[in-house]
Amino acid sequence: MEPADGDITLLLVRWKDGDPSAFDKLMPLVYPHLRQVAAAYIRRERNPDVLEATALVHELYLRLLSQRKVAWDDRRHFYTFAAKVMRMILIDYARASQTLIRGGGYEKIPLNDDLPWVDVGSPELLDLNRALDELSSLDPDKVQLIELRYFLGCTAEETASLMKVSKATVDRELKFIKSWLYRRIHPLATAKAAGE
Amino acid sequence: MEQRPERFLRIEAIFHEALAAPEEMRAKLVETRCQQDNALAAEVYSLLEACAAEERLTASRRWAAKVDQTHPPERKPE
Repeated sequence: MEPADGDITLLLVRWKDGDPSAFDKLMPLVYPHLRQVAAAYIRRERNPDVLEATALVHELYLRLLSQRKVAWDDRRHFYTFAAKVMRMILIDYARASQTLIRGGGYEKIPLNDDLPWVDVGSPELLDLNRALDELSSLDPDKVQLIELRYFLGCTAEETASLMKVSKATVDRELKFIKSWLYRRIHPLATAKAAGE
Repeated sequence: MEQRPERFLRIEAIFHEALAAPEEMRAKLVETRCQQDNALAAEVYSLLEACAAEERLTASRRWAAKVDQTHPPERKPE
């Protein structure tokens, strides 16, 4: 079947197959929506009643599904794409925070409760971004896992379902990746502790 | 140090095996698995150390967040 104009399914497949121009074409379809999600993320300090990024992405996905712009089996590609866009938005925010820093700097709001040593808007988030770029040449699936779990805020169970692995595998992989990222971001602390 | 993906996979496999082993058995396990490849063993040890340090930092941040919740810091007037 020939895809209709603006068919997100086709773009998602092209992006998955490594066509970078597909990413740029998909971007306007989710960017405004995800910017709102990111803004809620950033404002969530001391506000337990926050918008869940994953819930909003799901809502967007269902809307596109009802418009027949995506297919059911696009779920994984759509979420991984949305997670990548969320990473870009949050990194842009961190860069802006570092450039426009005034007085006290950024608020201490962890990117994720499971990664409480990286705050939204902090220099560590920019370090994390660089470390993830490096990790992508070693194992791109691990970067996808981090984007889903920490940038989009999926639970370990949701991440496992999207990656088609068990939750135990997600937990195990995260332990290794967090260790690798920690060492990359805090090389001196790790070297000092190892030398004790 | 540049790492090839196959080596990276090997490091990860030994890392998980070592974590699953009792602490007193870890050094022996790493030595056996690394087969006199000292650089590989150093890499695994360094990641095991990073794992422990990451867990310590996570625990201390969670504790600090809990304290902040029960005793919110006073905000300075604008």
